[in-house]
Amino acid sequence: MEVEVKVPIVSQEDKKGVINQWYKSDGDEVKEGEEIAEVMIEKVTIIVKAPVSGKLRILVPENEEISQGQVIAVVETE
Amino acid sequence: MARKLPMYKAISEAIAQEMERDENVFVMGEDIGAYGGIFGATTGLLEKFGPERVRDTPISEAAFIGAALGAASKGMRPIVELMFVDFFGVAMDQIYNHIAKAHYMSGGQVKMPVVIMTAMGGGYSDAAQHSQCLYGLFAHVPGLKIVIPSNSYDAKGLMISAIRDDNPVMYFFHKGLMGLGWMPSPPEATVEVPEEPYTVPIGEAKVVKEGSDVTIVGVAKMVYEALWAAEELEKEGIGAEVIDLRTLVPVDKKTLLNSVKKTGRLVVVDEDYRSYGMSGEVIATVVENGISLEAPPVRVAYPDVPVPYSRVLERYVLPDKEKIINAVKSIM
Amino acid sequence: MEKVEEIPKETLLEIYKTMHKIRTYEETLAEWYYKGKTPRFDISAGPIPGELHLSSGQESAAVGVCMHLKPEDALIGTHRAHHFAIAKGVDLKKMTAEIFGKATGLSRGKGGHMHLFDANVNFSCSGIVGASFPQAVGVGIAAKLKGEDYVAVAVGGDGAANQGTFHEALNLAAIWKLPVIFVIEDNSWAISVPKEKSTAVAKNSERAAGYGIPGVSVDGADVIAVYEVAKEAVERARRGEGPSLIEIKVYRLRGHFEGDPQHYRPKEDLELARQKDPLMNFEKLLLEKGIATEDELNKIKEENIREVQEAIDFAVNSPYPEPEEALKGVFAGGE
Repeated sequence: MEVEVKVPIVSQEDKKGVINQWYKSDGDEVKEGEEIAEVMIEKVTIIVKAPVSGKLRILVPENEEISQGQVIAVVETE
Repeated sequence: MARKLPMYKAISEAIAQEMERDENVFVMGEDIGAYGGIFGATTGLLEKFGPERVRDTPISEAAFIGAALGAASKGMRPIVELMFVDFFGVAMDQIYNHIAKAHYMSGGQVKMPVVIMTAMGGGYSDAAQHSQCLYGLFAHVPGLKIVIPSNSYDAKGLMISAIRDDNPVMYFFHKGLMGLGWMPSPPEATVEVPEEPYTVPIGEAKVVKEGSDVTIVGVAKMVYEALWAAEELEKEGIGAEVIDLRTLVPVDKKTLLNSVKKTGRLVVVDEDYRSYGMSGEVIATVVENGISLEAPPVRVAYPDVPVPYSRVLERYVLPDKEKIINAVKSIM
Repeated sequence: MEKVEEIPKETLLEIYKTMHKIRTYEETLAEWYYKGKTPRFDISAGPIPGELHLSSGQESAAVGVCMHLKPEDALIGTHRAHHFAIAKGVDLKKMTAEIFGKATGLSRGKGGHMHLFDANVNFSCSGIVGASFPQAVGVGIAAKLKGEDYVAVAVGGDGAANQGTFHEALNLAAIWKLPVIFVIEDNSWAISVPKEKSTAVAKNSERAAGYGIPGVSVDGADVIAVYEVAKEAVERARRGEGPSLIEIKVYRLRGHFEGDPQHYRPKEDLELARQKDPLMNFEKLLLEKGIATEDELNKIKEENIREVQEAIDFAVNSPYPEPEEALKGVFAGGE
């Protein structure tokens, strides 16, 4: 099964941003609740956590424009 | 286990761990709760500890900094954040006449375990009322300890020391070292930080690079400018020793004097105003202790002008690598 | 809104024109500000570095008040002051050049967006919350000592009304009966802290009672209401009857500063701000009452767009100051 990792919706406005940093690499095993990325919507930094345990597949690299709610990775579970 | 943390997270982690350890620790300040601090130093604290211990305040600095004194007098250990050091003017009386002096004036009856945390520094065109360092102003007043971390390891350790200290400690962080994605920051400031609580002693400087020809002293962002200058100088055969002072009060004379004894030359780099400040104090400390120098000491400091807005003007006055290299060469 | 018919049409159109100019100016400035700051927001990058606090949604406060002011009256604003600057008649080209950090700016690039000074129209502002109030008291003292009839307006946000300076200044102006108008531009937010969590009274105008001066609260969604309230306060000051406090309830359409996605702000509050947009409301009123035609308003809009573009062009094409300029001008009477 694949579980989507989305950019949290923090703002009522349509503000965009970037992934400031992936704490994990593509293919890494992650644990549920583990911090996996740091996302920036303009000046606000949000830590994204793994929704489930499994293998991380990164879909969006650092510094590429992202929208709130966008899927940036999936976690593959057994 | 250690992992790399930006400075803003190292600071909030230190505060969180101390709040867990000691129920007397609490935080007050502007936008420190829901916003997590304009520079992120209180990120996540409101969610963990709730609005009683993490208090967003009105823009009433004299009141909430004065309140820190009252709370401390009853055994609490308040941490107050004032968003920018430039904003302290309105609360100065509470700081320099009361918090700094209460222990002394009361003959030791009253302790002041207060941490006053604030952002300093420029370089991003925020102009004269949002870019100053001003640590010299506070270091001048007896009774305030002054700490200024330059990396995330020191940031966490110094914050824990500051909270545990029974004296008022002013904790300055440089905006340009916090590791915030929107504020340019040298990657060197983001280093490995142990997960468990630890302290970095207040009053200990650190030799961040050894050298035998000249001692370069600085704090905060200037430590990196000095290191980058030292790398260049190395290529030309000049060995620069770089000292991160880390604490201005009490200053680590031993580390400073040992280094200058060895090198015989001194350059002080200071992002605070040149006159009557840190740079003069460091030089006076060396001279008063009878250390004979091979060349006159040099200051690479902010000239005595307010911080200008325009990028070209600000770059002209900010101390940087090039200015340090020139200063060193002028005394070799 | 009944009073609107009693106001001359040219005055109404002037109010509209200035409000629209402010909105056009700031939205254009915002576009320039984000150049170099997307997708990654970097505060130091782009043609306009540093912070930028825009006033969209709050134009009525500036225009409603400044319509009654003469160049010799002083206006002391806040970190969010473009609207007051424009309404007070600050030179738009020089102001823009200042915001772009150019040599042709009001302060040769030394002040920047939060520190605009135009002595020709007695305008100033600063980045320190609550700093304006005592300064306006001093202007009032000068007017009294010199026997002149100018007045001083001090502007602060709802956050500033919790500073000691506000209370000290109101008391001082009251005991000395000075020609000062204290304006609280209440947008309900001190960055992320809502007014109900920072302020012990529902309306800051109530605080006037503590100093024995008139205190009025007015809805900033209605620029004519602001205009009427300000008129009374300015006339009272000119008559030598002392200070007044005006609270103008406005709604911030944008973040505290640019780059603020307002993650702390509820959706309803943003929607309310859009409903309370004073420019939109006034435009509707002018058309509905048949005071102006769409053609007339369009002509005004075009003039504004042109003037704003000229100011931007002037700024963009101006040179940066010589770096050595940074060392000059600390003291009067020398370089």
